[in-house]
Amino acid sequence: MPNPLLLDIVEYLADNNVAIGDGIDCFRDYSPEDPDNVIVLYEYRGSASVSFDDTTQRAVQVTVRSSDPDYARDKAIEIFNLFKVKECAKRVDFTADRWGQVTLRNTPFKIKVDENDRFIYGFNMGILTTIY
Amino acid sequence: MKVTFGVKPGSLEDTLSGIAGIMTNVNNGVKWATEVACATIYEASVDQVPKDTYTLAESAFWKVERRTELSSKSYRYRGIVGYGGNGDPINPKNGKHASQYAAEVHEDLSIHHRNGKAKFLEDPLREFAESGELYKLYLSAVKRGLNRR
Repeated sequence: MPNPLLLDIVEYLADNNVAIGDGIDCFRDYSPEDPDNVIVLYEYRGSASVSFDDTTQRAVQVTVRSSDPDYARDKAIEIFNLFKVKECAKRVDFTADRWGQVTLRNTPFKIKVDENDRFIYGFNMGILTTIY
Repeated sequence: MKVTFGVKPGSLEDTLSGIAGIMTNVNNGVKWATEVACATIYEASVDQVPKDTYTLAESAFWKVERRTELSSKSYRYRGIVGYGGNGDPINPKNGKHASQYAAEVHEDLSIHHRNGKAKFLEDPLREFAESGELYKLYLSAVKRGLNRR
């Protein structure tokens, strides 16, 4: 079974020196209390697949949390720009086993300030890739 | 979308009048379709919005307006489905207007809601569009406009 999509994205971010790694500063579908500075990826909905193909449109939210709002915003923009370049190229090779077509749905914006006064910036994107 | 229609030949005035009538019917049909689309998405969204105090649900609204930014003769329509309307009610728990926290509730995927969910507006919109219903709706509206005399 191939890696989950979010893990492949984490690896992609690490390969591009935007994140250190899964469970260190980058988390999937889970936002830990520590450390303050984290990148959290959520997959929040998919679309129905078609019977003759194993690709589908999937939705991913990228969030960056930090007690420093400038850091959170700049890191979100850095990740956004990483995908923006690839969006123009129409194809992202996340890993050797996964490629996808990325559509950025909005630019990074402040989602909220949490109860510990940490700022969360994020953006959403659609990814056409396999159902795995 | 390509639209083909016929007008019985007659005097130039009659022909132009016939075309204008058809265009009016099509424009009215497009407005009707936009209203139906907004109402459908609105209903699905209100079903999904978190209802801790019902403030967000009470602030839900939809409207259709003519787009006249570029021309007063334009018959392009814009449909809006959103939250923070109906007087922008205040949440009794946090003291904030619905418009001040609607986006946060919509985008924050880390929170588990007892009833309702995040992405309560985006999901119904995408589901409606991806189901093909939006396309069918506008197609039927244009057909209705072309067939009406």
